[in-house]
Amino acid sequence: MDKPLDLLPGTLDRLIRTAVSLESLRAYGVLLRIQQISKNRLEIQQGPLYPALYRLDHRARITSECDESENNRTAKYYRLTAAGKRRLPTEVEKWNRIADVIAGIPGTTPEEV
Amino acid sequence: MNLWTRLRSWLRATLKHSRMESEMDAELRFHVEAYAEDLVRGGVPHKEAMRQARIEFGGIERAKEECREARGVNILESLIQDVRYGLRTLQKNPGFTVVAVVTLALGMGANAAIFGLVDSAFLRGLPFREPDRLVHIWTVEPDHDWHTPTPMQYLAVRKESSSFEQVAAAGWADYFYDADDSVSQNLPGFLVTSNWLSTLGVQPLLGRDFREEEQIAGQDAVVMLSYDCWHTRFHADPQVAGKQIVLNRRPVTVIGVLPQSLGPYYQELEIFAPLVLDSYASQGNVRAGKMRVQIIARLRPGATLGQARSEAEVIASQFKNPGSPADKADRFVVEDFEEMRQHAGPTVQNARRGLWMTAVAAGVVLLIACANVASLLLARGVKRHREVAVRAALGCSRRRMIRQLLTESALLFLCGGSVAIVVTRWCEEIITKVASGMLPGAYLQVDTRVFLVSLGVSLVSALVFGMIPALQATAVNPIESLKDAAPNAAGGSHPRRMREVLIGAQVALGMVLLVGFGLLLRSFLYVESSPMGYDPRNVLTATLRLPATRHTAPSDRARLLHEAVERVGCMPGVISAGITDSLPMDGADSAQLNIWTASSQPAAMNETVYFVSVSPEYFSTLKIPMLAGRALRETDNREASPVAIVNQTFAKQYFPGANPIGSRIAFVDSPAAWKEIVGVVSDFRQRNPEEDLRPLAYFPVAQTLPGRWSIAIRVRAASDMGNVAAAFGKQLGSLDPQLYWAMGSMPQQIHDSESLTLRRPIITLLASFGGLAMMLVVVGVFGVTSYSVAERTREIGIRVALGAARQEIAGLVFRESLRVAFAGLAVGTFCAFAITRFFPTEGIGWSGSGIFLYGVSRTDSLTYLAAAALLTNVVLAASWAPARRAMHVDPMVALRYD
Repeated sequence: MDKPLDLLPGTLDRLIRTAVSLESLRAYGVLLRIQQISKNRLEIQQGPLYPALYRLDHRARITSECDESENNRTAKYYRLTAAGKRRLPTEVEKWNRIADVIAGIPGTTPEEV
Repeated sequence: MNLWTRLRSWLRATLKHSRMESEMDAELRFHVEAYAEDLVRGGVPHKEAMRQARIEFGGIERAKEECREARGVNILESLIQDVRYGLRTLQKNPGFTVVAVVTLALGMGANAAIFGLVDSAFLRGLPFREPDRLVHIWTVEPDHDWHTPTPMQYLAVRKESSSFEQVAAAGWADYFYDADDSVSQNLPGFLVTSNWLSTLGVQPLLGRDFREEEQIAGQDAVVMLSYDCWHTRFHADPQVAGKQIVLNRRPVTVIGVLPQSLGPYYQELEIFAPLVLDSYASQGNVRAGKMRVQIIARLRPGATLGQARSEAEVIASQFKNPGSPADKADRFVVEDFEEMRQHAGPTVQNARRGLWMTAVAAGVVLLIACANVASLLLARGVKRHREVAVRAALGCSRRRMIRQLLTESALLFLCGGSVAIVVTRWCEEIITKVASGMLPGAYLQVDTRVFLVSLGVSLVSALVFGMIPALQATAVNPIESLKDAAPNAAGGSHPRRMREVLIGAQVALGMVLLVGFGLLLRSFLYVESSPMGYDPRNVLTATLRLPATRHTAPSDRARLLHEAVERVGCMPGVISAGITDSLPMDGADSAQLNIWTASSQPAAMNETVYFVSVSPEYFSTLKIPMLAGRALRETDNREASPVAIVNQTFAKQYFPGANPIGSRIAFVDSPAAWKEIVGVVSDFRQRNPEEDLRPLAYFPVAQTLPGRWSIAIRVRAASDMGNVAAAFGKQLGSLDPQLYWAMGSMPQQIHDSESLTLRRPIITLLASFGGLAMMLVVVGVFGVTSYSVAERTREIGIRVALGAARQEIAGLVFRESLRVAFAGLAVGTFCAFAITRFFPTEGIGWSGSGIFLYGVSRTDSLTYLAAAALLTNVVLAASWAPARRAMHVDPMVALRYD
């Protein structure tokens, strides 16, 4: 397997929102889901995941609620807020534009400049 | 994201703090356990899996801290934490805390005091109800100058105007108050109409306002006191209203006391009495031959200044050709109070100068204090860098640590600020006393404004001066610092340089302060010793006023003047006595004069000239020589033709190269009543010791017959002063038991001259600021030098072990201090050059009084050298104790020191 990629700034927030847009998840679940959707190609630092979750929660992009977990203990589940959902399409579009631009950069030839 | 969601999240986080903490705990624990379980499933043993999970997660505490920060939980919580921690650290180092707090308190106290004074004098709004509706009314007379109007004009405005709600008038008067049986004091007074206070919209502090019937002659035996008068002469007696006092030999009832806030606007006035227009001429001061009253008025609600002005135009038209020539006016000027404040008179302009100078000085003291505390904090920061390194290693962010250090310095500065406020509050009275010499009526009162400004100053300076040590202390590489077991070996050159810069800055600021003070002090000494043109030694003075109802006939007055001189001149111990209506340093009246010179014949020059009335013996009594022509004689009386004597400047200015004797002068008002110039007298100072000399004319008192005059009495020896002063009362009392007077002396006159009175408080304030600055520099240099000696103990030990002599070690310490001091002095000299450029070199007002450089140039080398020498000595003295400690370092102990 190739060496996992480091994250571009802002990517983690994007990934978290994508992860919780599918279903509400516990924090650990968010980590697993990100690894799953990136097909293990991204290196997710476990520590910084939590401040990122709290930050998004604080900015009301995602919200958290307590629910019963599988083993009957209360646990915190994260999901996308209504506002977060509304912004999702435009953000995805923006993301794709950036990804496009970035993808184009290394292949640039002198003639193009 | 909107503010509301942030706030809600923050509130929730703050209020449900403990629940959030446990949730976070559970979440993180679950994460590690779940991850470990996954690893166990992959075949890793349980214990090893837990370890690996923790390692891969990274710093759990750090993550928690970042989560808290992400939620914005920390602002309040961490502030409380920081305050608690800061208080504990300050408590643990009582020596440092006390020195820092005292230093800051001195700097901030000086500023709070000066701000309070500036505020009371210039910044606070006018202390009247709806001041934008208040106006002054002036009249413009044929000489095109603005004057205060006459009583007739006042009555016309009051009767005929419709845009004013109220019109009030006030005139000036002199009062003689018998404090004890023997001493009487001359109190300036203001005669006001009964609606004067209500027009201003001011309530008496104590007692009641005047009533309308008290404006009728015979019922006017009531007075109000100014706040200052009440304080200084009646010891702020709360029961003063209703008391009887004797003013001008007449019992009057005190009905009230005016508030302190009026002080800056009605400077020096002590007694307020009803204005009785019918008898104003005899009751009040008649200025330059005319009765005048100040008119104030309050605009009706809705009326504009423009309306009032056009109305005044109409009313003024009837005074183009009035019944009495004294009431002649071209037009009226209506000016609102704010405008008047901007056209401040010379006294206020001078006081402004003085106050700004002291404000700058106070700012410099504060800067020195702040630099001082910053250097102490820096020194301590180095001591604490192990603590900082540990915290950094545990995951504390640099921003967080800076915040904590800033909180600590904010606590320190706030403590300093509070102590300053308390001390300033104690010193209110003494500061008011010093400053009221500069600007009568200015006062210091520590109120919310002063408090808030001091609070602001504390916080801003804490931020600015706490930032340097905070940045320095947190610029630590944790690994290096933790490894380095002996930070005292090197200490790092950067913090030391920063400390030296701060000490150098203190020396430089001290230099600026000392040079400014030195220049003003030398000016003051020059003014005090400048040649007056007369001999003030052994000269007593007495200022008299004739009772209103007596000696009204000119022949009576002339006889009284003559007899007074005669009797006083014969008293034992007296050499001679002369009369004048205006003693030296009292100034003089001025008027437009026609001067006929040889070149301007037959047309006359028209000049504004100051004039004084004197008796024949006056010049000889003061030992002022006649230069040409004859002196005044007894025979220059009402029957003889009018004569005048002029001073040298008059002769030079209007008769250049010609002899003025035999020429004629006359008041523009009455050109037919010309006076012949019969002599020229030597110049002398009439207003201020350092004034520029003006043309002056002297008329015989026997021809002008003033209602108020002074006697100058030359006695044989200083020891005679007391006897003569005591016997004087008996002589005058037998002349007329109803005369009243105040005694003084020529040296006292000079001491009380406007210019010295203005300069003295500035010198006092700057001297005390200079002293404070020196103290702070001593503390700063001592602290930093001691610290640097302690830091270099090992180095010194090595030097001693290698054979360095004790003196060489002391020299090392002194050399270091001097290097910093000289750098500071160089910068300070440069700054002083720059700042003294703003020092005025000319006075304000008609004879150039005020606070300016006199007899000394801005770049006076003696002042600069003295300031530099003083500072160098201060620095050396402050380094003395640390140098001694360095000399006695035991190499054995020093090398083992770890």
